Amino acid sequence: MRWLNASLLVGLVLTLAAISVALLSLVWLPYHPNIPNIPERMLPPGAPGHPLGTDTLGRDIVAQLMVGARTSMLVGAGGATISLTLGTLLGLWAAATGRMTDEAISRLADIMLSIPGMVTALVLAATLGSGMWTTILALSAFFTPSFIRVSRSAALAVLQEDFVTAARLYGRGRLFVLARHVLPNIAGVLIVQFTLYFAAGILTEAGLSYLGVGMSRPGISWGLMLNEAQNTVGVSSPLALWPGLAIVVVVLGLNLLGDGLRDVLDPKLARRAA
Amino acid sequence: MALYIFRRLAFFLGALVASSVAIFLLIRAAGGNVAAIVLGRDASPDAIDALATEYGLDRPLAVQYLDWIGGMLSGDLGRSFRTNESVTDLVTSRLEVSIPLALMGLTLGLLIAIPAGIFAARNAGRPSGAFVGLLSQVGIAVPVFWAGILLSLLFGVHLGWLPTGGWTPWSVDPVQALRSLVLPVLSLGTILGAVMTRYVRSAVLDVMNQDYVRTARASGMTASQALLQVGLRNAALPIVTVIGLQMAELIGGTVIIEMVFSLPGLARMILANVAAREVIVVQSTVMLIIVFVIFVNFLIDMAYALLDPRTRRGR
Amino acid sequence: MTIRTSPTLATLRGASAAVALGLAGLGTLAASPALAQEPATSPRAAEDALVMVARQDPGTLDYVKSILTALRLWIPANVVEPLVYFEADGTVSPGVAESWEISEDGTVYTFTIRDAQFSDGTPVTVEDVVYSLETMSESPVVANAAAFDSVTDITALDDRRVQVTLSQPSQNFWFGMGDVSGLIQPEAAAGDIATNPIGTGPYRLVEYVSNSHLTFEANPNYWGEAPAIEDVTVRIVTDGTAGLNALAAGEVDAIPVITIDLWEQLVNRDLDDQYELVTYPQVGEPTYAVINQALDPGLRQAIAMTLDRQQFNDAFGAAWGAENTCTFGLPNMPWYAPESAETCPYPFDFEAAMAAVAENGYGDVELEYVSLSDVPDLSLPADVMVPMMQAAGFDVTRNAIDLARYSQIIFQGRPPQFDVTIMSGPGGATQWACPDPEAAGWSTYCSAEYTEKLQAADAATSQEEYEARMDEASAILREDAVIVPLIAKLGVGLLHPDLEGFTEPRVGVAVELSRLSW
Repeated sequence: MRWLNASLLVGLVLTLAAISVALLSLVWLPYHPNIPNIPERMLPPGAPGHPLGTDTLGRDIVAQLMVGARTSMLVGAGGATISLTLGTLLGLWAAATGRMTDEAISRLADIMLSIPGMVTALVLAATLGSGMWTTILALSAFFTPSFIRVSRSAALAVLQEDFVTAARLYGRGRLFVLARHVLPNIAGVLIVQFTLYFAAGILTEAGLSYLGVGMSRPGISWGLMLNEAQNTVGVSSPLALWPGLAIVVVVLGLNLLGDGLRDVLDPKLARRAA
Repeated sequence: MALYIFRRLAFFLGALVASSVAIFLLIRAAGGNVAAIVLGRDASPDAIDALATEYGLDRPLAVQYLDWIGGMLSGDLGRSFRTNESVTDLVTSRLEVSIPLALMGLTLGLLIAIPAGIFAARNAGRPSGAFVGLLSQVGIAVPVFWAGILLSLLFGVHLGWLPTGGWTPWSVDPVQALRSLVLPVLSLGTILGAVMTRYVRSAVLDVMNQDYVRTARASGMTASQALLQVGLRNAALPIVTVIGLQMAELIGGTVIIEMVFSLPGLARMILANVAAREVIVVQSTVMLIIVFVIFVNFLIDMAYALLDPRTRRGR
Repeated sequence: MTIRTSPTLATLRGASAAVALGLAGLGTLAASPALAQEPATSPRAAEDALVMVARQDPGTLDYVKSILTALRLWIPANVVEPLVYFEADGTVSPGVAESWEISEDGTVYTFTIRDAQFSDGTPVTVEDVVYSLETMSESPVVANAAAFDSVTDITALDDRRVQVTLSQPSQNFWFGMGDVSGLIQPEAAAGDIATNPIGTGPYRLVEYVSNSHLTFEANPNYWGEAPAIEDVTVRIVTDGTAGLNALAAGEVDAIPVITIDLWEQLVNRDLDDQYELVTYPQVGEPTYAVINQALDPGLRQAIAMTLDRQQFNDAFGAAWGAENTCTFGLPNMPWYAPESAETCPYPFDFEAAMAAVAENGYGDVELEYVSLSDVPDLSLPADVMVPMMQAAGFDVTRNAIDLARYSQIIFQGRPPQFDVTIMSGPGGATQWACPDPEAAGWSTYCSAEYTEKLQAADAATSQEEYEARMDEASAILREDAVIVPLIAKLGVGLLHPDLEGFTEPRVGVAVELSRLSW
């Protein structure tokens, strides 16, 4: 029962719950999340029909949280998927080819990693404008270098294994070796990395939207809700509680899932990175 | 070793050139024009073009870039178009907020992370260790700005003990200045501490499994003695590295915390100047931050090279 | 001054208190201790000093080139004075000009310049006056230069008198001489105007640190009576809540301009009871939708019918500071009228809007709604307007962009790239003048008929005639449904109750510091 650890279980439950809410929001919402209903503005939690109340324009909080879950999932998964794909391709390319390419790709990754993302994001947002796609794009730019590093070093380790050398001696092509031998062997590491950056993506998106440089209406995200709630501090602070709680729960879930997966998929790595 | 330093230096310079080009192009790709912001909405396009020419914004991009970089290299960070203030003065006036915030945040983070990380490592596999681990996991999941909002609601709005935002300059009232920083530092430090606890824990766990600690224990030291006298010295290096890795996290956190508590630090300055398309101010300020981060990484690389013989041979 | 709280607000306040009690753990955070008590005496009172908060950073203090309210609040009247002052009662009092003569046909103005000094000690000369007026007439800011449209000549007659000749009588010129267009600066110091504007006003600027503060001290060379308050600091706090906090904590004494997004908060925190709440129309702004004139008139009218003005007003939660209106202007303008059946050609009628969309196929027209992302006063109305339009059947997508981009594609875009947008700004009706469709401004609005009425008003020889023409112009603007006013916001400020003498601005929106005293 090595694979069934508490971390994995709790993480899986929280993550699945978040995904279910996001999926549910596609087919059912208690109210339209954007249409204002001014007479019912600023209702307290527990008001009839609005379990968590309404915001400054009378929009239902539950409905907005549900759409926020969808945004978080899309942005987190989108950012992580693009950087996983790009990063792995570049990482494998670097590992499998000669010194020059390797050096170029690795240094590029190093440079990108040394540029502080939040600071660049302030400029980037002005360049790209706000919205879901630009946020995903920004996340991909921040995360890709990490995926390059991880996939490159993991691939290098696999390439030194005997069975790879054997395959090469049999005259197998470089691409075949990468696809047949290297990729399956580094998949575990990448999946773990994916989960962790999924979570990091959700956190970063919330930060960007809070700063006003991420999502904007009619898009809804938890960070945007916190941004809007900031002006009501001293009026009705529960508005600043719910989106924050949602972020904590989902990010915690994904991180626990990542840790749990690491224990299962890559015990060696688990001990080192704990 | 000389070759290694040379290579790192070359990388350091390459990184600077690459990021300066990137930031230069990025802010220009944003569209809009400081002249249009200055002149307001009813200005004629001709008037805006004339002002842009006066600002030198109509010159070829390469000329503008070289002009800017040339200035940077000779220590001239340029001036604000609108007020003609020098960027050096602008940045210096902001550092009195940003540097204390970042340093105190980092210190608080370490004060939390080192004991908590060691405790968690020592008690790995026990409920107490797992509990610290869980706390750290929760801390990692809390967005730093939300921690800030909650703290300001509790201590600022509800209890009224500390200011919920705003800034009193050190020169006006140092006590008030310090009070304005308490909640920002608390939010930043706690979250940073949670993140770093994990790194410290694994560094210590690694060290505890090393031969020399086992030997020390075999020679009669208690676990604590062995860890403190032998292990911690060896765990220090990875911890220093962690601080380096946390630079990005620290700067990101400082940026966002400045917003939550409306502190007039570097981040607010950058955001305001991005909005006004003050391209020179933005380029120079962002470059300063990037230079700083890359330089710290460079120093850490050097320290590593000196301390770890394996690196010296080159990778 | 106490402001009556609307019943909805009172209920809401009660409701939020109930939440706080209900949600023991989390909810207690919400309930700020709301004690209506007088704030303590300001420590600045004994020193004849004053600290105020401003929300926006001016960036530049060059009032010739920048039209930002953030600058016009402080520099005119306090530091740099106009030739004359238009008083609230309609009389005109001397400024840099100690007297003036207007020829009978209203085309020749002779100003006698005061024998005074600028704050830097240099004497005010007729050359400075000619220079200032000529510079202003070439200002890239249309609102500044417009006053000089009929001016043909500005000359110094001797070393005390300046004569301005007009091609026709112009109300705009005369009003301009009491506004930013008539500000007088020394030619010798003009190079530093962006950071250190010089004038003859009761104060001189000591320091301006962008995004931080402006400090003023009494001008030792002022020609009039020295102001009661000697030192004034204006702290720039962009975060509105932080500004209110600073006031509540006694760190500052006044916030003369509070933007609409904070009105509800200040009421909920009882700041209106503890502090003196002042409302004045001069700093107010109309909030209005702009519907591209290139769109079908029927479609524009249908969009106008989706605008529920009460909804916008309520969204800000402060009905006491804003009035529903279909008239473009501010409540202190004679031709202004609040929302009513007579003055609203296309009143809110959601059913009618839906019917019009269905009947005329307006749903097939792709509409781009451009909104400013970094201005809460404008993104909130857009949050209301866009879903309402969608619900009525319009195919509208929202494009939220920042001010620089907005300037590029709308203010400077020819043609401007938008179908619908929302804006708020100065209430002057002349800004929509457009003699020739080729010269249409960012709003796309161009009406020969409207412009003729404005020109007739400008050339009017009596106040009554001027107002009558403006009234007619105003009606044309309403009918055209391009510039569609929603609400007229008043200027709202909070002052320490011990602070006396606040008066409505005379020079544009400038807060007159010299009138204040502890």
